[in-house]
Amino acid sequence: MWLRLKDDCMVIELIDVFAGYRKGGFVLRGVNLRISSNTIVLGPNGSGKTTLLRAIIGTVVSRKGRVVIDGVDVDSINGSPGLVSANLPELVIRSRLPVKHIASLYLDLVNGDYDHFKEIVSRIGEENALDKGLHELSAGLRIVVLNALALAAKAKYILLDEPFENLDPARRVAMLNEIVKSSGIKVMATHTTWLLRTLDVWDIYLIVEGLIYGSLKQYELIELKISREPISDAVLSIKLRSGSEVYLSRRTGVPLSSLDSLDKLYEVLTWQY
Amino acid sequence: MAVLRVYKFYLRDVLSNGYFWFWSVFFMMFWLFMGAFVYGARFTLDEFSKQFPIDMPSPVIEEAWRESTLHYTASWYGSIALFSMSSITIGLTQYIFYSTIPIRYLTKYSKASPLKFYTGFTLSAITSTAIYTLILLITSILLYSYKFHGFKTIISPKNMLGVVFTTITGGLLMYFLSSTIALLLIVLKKPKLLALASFVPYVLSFGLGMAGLIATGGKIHFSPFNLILLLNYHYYAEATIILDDPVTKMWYNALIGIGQAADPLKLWLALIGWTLLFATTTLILFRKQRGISIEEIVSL
Repeated sequence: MWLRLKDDCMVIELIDVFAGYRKGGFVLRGVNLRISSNTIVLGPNGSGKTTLLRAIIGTVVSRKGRVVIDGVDVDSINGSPGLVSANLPELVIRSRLPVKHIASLYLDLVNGDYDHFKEIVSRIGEENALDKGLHELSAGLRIVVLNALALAAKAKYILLDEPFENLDPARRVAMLNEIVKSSGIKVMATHTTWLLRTLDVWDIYLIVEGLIYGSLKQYELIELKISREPISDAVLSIKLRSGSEVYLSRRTGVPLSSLDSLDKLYEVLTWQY
Repeated sequence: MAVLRVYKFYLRDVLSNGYFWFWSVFFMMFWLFMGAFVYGARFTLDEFSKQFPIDMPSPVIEEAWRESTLHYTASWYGSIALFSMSSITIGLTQYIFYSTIPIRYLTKYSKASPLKFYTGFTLSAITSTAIYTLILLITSILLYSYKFHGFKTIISPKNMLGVVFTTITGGLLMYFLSSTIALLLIVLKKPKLLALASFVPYVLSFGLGMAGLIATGGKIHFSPFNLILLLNYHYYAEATIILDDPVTKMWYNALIGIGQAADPLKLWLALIGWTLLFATTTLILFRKQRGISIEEIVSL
């Protein structure tokens, strides 16, 4: 079934979404989110970033709440090439065929651009990666291929999960440039903070223990200070499963002060607090 | 177009997969060889002639020998084609199991609807089954014609069209059986049973197939596996089907007039019935399944 989606209606909405897997409880615990422009979801390992992307695509196994893409419930979307692409490895058919055959099938079915895919892989990865199976590639090359598949799909929404994982510094920058210049609304889930220097106009959300906080801009985030004590004018208060809370405010606490020190936030959120 | 694209991809994937070639073709060729040169070592014209009165004209004996080798070859081909198909189901079950999430993603965000995707996949499974069994058919003809007649007589199927239709229907049945098993594991949330469950058709086809071939007749011939064996045997040799007998005794008992010949149509109805049953369960389970999480797949 082909759905007619309005071009002027460009928004992904998550309404009270709980999502997870069969074993254990929900990873996402009541997420409300509205994405209409380039977005970064920042969070430590295990906070629910990948699950959030899976919930948006509609491939998460267990879900409550609604995910709506351009006004259509994600469960009702069928046969809509060019709507959403993603770099999640589980979306790629398990095959021992060379990458070029897998990419050719995918990009043909989603009305993508195989030449663009090939160009990204050759430039940022290695051209001979196309002749190898996905399982034969190094972790770095594999993420280049998966990112390239997502970007070359020319989708309206491009979801990228840890797109810089296992990439060397030079390739990270090249990949970031590729992501920035690609058309479509990008939703990037990552725990890396160095890239915020370049993405100053993107919306930033923090995700911690399955709950999402934001949005902020880069310049707002670096002005914030972290505190364990309750603050009346807190911009964000992050609730941890332990029952304690972390407060981010403009006036009280330890300043994040520079982008590099954003990693302090993870330290506070994950193990030092 | 999407059907063709998916079809070509999976056909290329299956045909370039060493697992399928080894277990469905080369391992089966090994058994065909065993059937001709080891199990059939003492099955020679000289030995065969000893069963006849000494004054029996040699053209009669030669004609009986031709018929006998034809039925022997047909029973081996029927069995090996069945075992080859059931070994394909092991791989297909795993393909289908691991494809549920990519297929869900692609059917949402590509031109391929679930129907188009599964049509392409099904056609590729049938085509690969047909290619593998064709190779086994040619191997059977060459090996057994050489062994029994030194290529002076070619033991080819008497009804090629019947063999082809049996193979296609058998391939379709095995595909839906694989789908049913894979989707059932997903719906029942038992991914860890994948390795065990994917071998069930193989084990059943060996057990039931061998029993129906050499040990017993009756209801066993109506199992989906035995139907493939029996129809292939029937069309290869244009043999009379006697449902009360094991396959290896059908020809002899038909010659001496023991047993009642069965209408192949009855077997076809049963085979089509099984195929439709597995197709229906596949459809129901496909609608019911929600995929399998990557965490569970990784842990396998």
